[in-house]
Amino acid sequence: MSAADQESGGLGIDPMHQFEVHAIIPINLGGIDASFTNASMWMVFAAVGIIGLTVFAMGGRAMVPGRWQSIAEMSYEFVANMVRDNVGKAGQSYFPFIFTLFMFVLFSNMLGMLPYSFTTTSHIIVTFALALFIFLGVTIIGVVKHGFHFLSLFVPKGLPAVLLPLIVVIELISYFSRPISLSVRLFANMMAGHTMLKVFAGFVIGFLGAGGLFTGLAIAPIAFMVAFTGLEILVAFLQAYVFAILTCIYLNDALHLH
Amino acid sequence: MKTPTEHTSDASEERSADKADLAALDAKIRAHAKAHQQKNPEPAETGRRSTAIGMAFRLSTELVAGLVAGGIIGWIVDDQLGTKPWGLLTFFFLGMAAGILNVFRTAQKLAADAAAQVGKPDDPSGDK
Repeated sequence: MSAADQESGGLGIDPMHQFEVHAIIPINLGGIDASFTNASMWMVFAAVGIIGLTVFAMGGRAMVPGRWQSIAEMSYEFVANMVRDNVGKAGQSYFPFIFTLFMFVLFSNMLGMLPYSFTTTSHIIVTFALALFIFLGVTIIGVVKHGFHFLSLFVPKGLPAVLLPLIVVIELISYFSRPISLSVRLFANMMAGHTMLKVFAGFVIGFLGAGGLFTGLAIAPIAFMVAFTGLEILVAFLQAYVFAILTCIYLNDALHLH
Repeated sequence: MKTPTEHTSDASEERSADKADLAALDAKIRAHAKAHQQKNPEPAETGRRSTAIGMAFRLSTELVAGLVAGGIIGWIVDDQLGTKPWGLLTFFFLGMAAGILNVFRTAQKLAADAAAQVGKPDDPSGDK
């Protein structure tokens, strides 16, 4: 650790540095910065990983699956059950979309757990783009299936006429809050966890840098980080699951109204 | 040498025998799994506990999302109609109501899911 860092009171580590996006291949499309960044690179890795798992691991098509084929089959069944339980038979035709979505979020989250990697889902713009796409898609599906009747989604049954304007506005806001809650939940979980890990890593460096009696104390943040990494892997899976299941619930609302 | 028809019927017989074998094996595995789960029910228990943090986070984001959506709508209304503080004020409070409505609905859904899970611990053929 440099003297300058100690003077400024920093621990020589910036917990937010890991979220920086930088261009790998600068591309400029008529004034728009469309560079291939580290974020794009890790999204490509996620896509390649999913293709690898679903295409190549299933290549053997063995009756008794090996490890990789088991993983692919389990993920398929997991999402298929999720769609069946939450949307019913009508949801079967949307299974490919939800499976792709679940696998992309899961792979992005899990790849983010690798050292020196970049977590694409820790950026609000990525999760918000996904959520907005789902929101618009589900709304369009609802309007196409039910036409004008889709608006009954905003009018609860048995509502007194006096309360109608107020409740409809509240229901509308509640509907528009869906992409926000969907994206913020995933982004905040990923970013908070990764920042926390880096902050505690900073403590370790701080203790070791202080030397003497403090060196032994470094074991405490290390122990915490080991435990917290386990929790982070759980969160990475859980958030992918929550993202997919909420998409199912929104889709169910649009298909069946209520 | 077998005639083609004999051959195919043989193969299909073999296949149905295989299927019966597999079904028997499947039943056996399920019985073992059930016995195992009854003996040590911890895994399911820890699974339920670990999702508590997810549940808490889900509810809190629902509340905040309602507020943010209300705030953004109010801001846009003010911007478009020039009703400076009133749009934001009104929609902020409506957003609060929407957030609480979100939380209420989510909690209802979570409770219903939990009740359904207690009702039938695991049914692999959970057709609805």
